[in-house]
This record gives sequence, structure tokens and C-alpha cells, in this order.
Amino acid sequence: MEKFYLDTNILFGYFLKKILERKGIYKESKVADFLITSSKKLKYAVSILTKAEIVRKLKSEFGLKEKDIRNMWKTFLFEISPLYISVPQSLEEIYEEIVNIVFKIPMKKRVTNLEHLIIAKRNDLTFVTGDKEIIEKCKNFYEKIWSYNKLRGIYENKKI
Amino acid sequence: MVNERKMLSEKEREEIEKSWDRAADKVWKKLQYWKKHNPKKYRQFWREIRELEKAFS
Repeated sequence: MEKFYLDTNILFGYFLKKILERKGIYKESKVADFLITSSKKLKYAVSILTKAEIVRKLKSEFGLKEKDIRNMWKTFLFEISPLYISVPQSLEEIYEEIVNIVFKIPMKKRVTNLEHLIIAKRNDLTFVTGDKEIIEKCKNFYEKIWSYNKLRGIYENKKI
Repeated sequence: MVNERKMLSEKEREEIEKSWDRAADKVWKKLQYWKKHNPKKYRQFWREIRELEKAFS
């Protein structure tokens, strides 16, 4: 069964939707709705890096308390039931690969999504991201990189 | 790879519900604050959400 490692943006959409619903705002969220529905059939994966980025955003932008963020993360795990990917490689190993990429490919953005890419590659997971630069430039480095659109399209055509 | 999901007790569920309520209050207040005092940040926040939705549609 194909397993999908998600970048942080798609997950943040999930948290935001659930937060806004509490305030009676039912904005249509294709991202969060898709994540919740598709998690019944697809296997998703997250890592400590994903968790760190979500915590950072919820804490720094909105000042949420640690206890509350931890409880929100529990809900996410319960509802989406992702695999938790451990990252046994040392930082040195991960960044050695990133250095190899940025030597060969001119990348304009910061390296966080490349860190995700290495984690996905090392765990043989399909990396699902909205980062166009990664999608367009890094296929030669790792072929299992999908856009959100591709994941949704293939899921809806029931090819998965 | 491990599955972090575990069954939640009734007490845990109640605590989690309260956490979401507190989080919703804080996020809502922050959004309203941005809307009034930092409209640039407010627009940027929703622009990023719209871009994510667009990438998905």
C-alpha cells in the first residue's frame, strides 16, 4: 500500500478548519475535508519535523498553550491515524543530502521542505507537497513527489 | 514506523474538547485583532489559506 508523507501546509489546513468550526464558521475547506475523508483509505505519515512546524505555527502566530497544542495533536492522530515516521539518520546525514541537492539544483526557498523530502525518501514514502519548486526541480533526485492536485485527482478517480 | 493513535478515555476527551475551545477562542481573537490593527497580516493569512485551497482544486 502506497504511503504518503504530507508537508505541513496541508496539515495546518486541518487544524484551522477545526478551530473555525468551533466559532461557527463553516468555511469550505477542500484540503481539510479531503484529508479527513481520504484518511479512511489512504495511509498518511508524519514526522517529528511535521509536528515541530505545526507546534511552531500554533504557538508563534496564535500564542496557544503547550497543553492545548498537545491535545489538538492527539485529535489529529486519532482522526487521521497517520504513521509516525522516526528519523534515525543524524542531522549530518540529512544535511549532507540536502547539500548535494542544492549544489546541483538552484533552490530559492529555505530548506525545510527539502528536509521533509529526505525523510520521505529515506522511508520510501511518496512526498505530497504544494511546494512547486520541489515538484518541478527535485524529480530527478526522488521520483515519488506528488502535488496535492495529483493526490486528489488520483484518489477521486479511484486509482488508489 | 509506528501508529501513534491510541484510544482516549472519557476524561481525556473532555480535556481535549476544552483545549480546542480555548484554542478557537485565541485564534479567533487574534484574527479579529489582525483585522482591526494589522490588516496586512490579516489579508496575508487568508491569502495563504486561499492559495493552499487553490493548489488543491
